Amino acid sequence: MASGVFRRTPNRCGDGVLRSLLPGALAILACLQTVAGFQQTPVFRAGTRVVPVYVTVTGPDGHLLTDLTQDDFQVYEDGERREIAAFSTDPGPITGLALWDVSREMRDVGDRSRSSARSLVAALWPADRLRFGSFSSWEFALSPLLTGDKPTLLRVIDEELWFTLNYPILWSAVMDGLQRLSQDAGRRVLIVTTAGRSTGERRSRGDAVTLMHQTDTQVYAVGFEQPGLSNGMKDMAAESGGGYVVIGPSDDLDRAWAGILDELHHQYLLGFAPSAVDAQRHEIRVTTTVAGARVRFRRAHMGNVP
Amino acid sequence: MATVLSGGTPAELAQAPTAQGAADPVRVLFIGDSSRSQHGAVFGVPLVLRGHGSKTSLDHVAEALGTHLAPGVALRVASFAERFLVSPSWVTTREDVRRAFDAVDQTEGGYTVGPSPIWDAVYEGADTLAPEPGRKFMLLVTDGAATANTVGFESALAHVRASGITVHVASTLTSPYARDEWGPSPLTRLRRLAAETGGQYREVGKGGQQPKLWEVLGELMDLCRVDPGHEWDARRAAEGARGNAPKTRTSGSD
Repeated sequence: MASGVFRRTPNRCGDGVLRSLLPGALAILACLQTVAGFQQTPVFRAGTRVVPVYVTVTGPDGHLLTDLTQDDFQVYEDGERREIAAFSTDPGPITGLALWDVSREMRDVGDRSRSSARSLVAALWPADRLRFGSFSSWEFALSPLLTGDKPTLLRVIDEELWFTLNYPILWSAVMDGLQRLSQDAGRRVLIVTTAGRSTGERRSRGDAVTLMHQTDTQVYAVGFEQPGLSNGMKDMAAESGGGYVVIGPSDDLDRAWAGILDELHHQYLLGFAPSAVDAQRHEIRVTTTVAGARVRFRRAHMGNVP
Repeated sequence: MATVLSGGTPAELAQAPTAQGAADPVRVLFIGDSSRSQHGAVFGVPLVLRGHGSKTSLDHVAEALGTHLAPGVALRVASFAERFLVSPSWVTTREDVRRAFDAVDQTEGGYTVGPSPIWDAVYEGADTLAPEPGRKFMLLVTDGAATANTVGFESALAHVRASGITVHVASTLTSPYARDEWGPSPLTRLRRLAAETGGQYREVGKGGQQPKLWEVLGELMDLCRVDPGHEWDARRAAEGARGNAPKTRTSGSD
């Protein structure tokens, strides 16, 4: 299994702790909001924008490192170091959109792709919410149901995923999906199962990446060894701070999805105040002092008010 | 009261197919798929016909339904894609049928757009028909490839059955094509919907050996004049006696 997603080591410090708030930092408060009986995404509240950065840290062996502290990180915007205004080891449940490529590119792996969707549902954590959607030139459709109820999600998979001989219109679907996801409250994650190819597009991958950053969305891409996963889709996932998986014929689907969900639930959430709200692209870099560790994070924000 | 065997079990008929029954008012709700994938099936003007003055499928369909409107039969028209739209009133004349179709047009620039929430449409169609007197029928035209539904197939089917509605289905996707190109067939649920409500399931095509949609709709409209079938009435009676006929709408899983 080729993967941009990594295995996890046991958590040595415990989860669910809002580790620290930098004293006096722009009077920004970070709080965990509890609504309707379940814990939602940590929300950074302030009179000014705070850019959320979800960070995955892995050790030299590829396992997740889950016990780092705020002092282990440094954040840079356009090369300038920024104060970490908020920090949490509990990134919160996801509000996800699972987009399924049902075009001719994926038709030969239709049954496996459908099974993969079921494995995704099985891997969801409590309080995670997911919406399914599908796309080809034939139709772009999003379920009206955003839910964590697994029987409901399985019903949607069984009744609404139709693999066709039509063309993939990937970037339009990704952008329409991002737009829809931006209307949902919570920690936004776009999961795209696709070959990553697109035909007959009016929109570009660059447009999709810009919108991804504007909507503070992490992207995870999942492909199959045949027909593969395009570099464009892999790069987009990497740019978002998410990851990708290419599943082989004999790979365990449940394990693959459990790995992705495990990673999503063991990321660090860092926040910093941007230098400007100017609708321009600003590069982000996150480093750690932990020897041998590898850090994945979103590469940019768009200087926008969310 | 007549008695029939249903699945080997004696069951009373809810309504015997008598002359009195045949005189009941009849309500027919036509539901057409206006999703993107169904462009030109009923709604939407195919490119080759634009500006040529040729009759569209919608022209033919409206004409067929109007022509086959029997005395005592009233019709409403619905379309579904992004929304479920129903024509404002029951109509009984050929001229009014075409106006009813115009009232539910949700195409954009002559093209159908949006997803295919078939089961939501069936469910809402049942809500439209349920309070009406007499015999109630649904004429459903779709390819069966449902997407973006709030309710599932089983919920929709149960609701239709509990509302005493017979569903006739005209499938725009044909079995050979579905088998060759689709893998798991979207037609299975359409067949069940018709079979389990006492209706007919028919497939239509644009050419070759398949009958045309409007020809099939004319035949299905003729069926809406008569008793929908002893077996169906018997089954409803038996389920009513067991008290297990679903009555409430549930979203999500079935």
